[in-house]
Amino acid sequence: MSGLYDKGRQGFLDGSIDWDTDDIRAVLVDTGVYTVNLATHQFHSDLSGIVATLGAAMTGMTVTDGVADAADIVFTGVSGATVEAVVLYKWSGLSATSRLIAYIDTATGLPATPSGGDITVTWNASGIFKL
Amino acid sequence: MANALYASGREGFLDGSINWETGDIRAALIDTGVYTVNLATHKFYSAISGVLGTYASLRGKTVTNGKAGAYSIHFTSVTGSAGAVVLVDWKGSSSTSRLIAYIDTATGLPASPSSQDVNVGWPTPIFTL
Repeated sequence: MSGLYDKGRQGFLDGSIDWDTDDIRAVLVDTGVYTVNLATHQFHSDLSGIVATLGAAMTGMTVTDGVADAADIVFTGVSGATVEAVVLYKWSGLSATSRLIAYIDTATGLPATPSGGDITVTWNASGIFKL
Repeated sequence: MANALYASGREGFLDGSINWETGDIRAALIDTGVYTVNLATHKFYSAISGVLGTYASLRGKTVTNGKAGAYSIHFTSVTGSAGAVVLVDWKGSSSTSRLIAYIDTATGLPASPSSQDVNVGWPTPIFTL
């Protein structure tokens, strides 16, 4: 079930997360290992089962009418367990202080079974999420 | 209609231009017989009509888990038919102050005062992002 983390919502409400200028990154997770808890998980360090990490900030960020969107993302050379979800977070440079934003398990490209190649996640045409 | 967020307000939170906690959040008491809300197209305070009273600024604001809260407010010496409160991120100018929320379900609304104060008690929370 895709959704926004409560502490991500709080970050937007108090101005500590800025979708179109902050360093927003993504990881692919194995949901057989990571069980999402939107109410209590706050930072990147709460995640487990990370199979692949986007090594740089997402691009093409848009905010029109409160709809968050971005360019599709590509995880390169992925090996490991089957991945079922993407988690978006604001990267601070430290796992323990990088705020979780969204958990997305419904997107083109998911789930995916890594074979050493690239995995592309294509966002919904209507946007990634709406605040 | 139920309490709701303006698209402009959602955008302001998403791009970091509205900060509920530290911003100058103000409220306007509205005659809904004059103002017809349009959450999709009304962007700034200058789009509002039928203002019966204003309150500046909200205090006791909270943000926990993305739920916006604040102390109750009151509008002084109001005359008219008050059906809603509009929340605004005040930037010093009507044409640059983003609309945040349209609240027509709160304690004290609707009201038809004649030179009387109107007290508005917020729902808990006022809204959730």
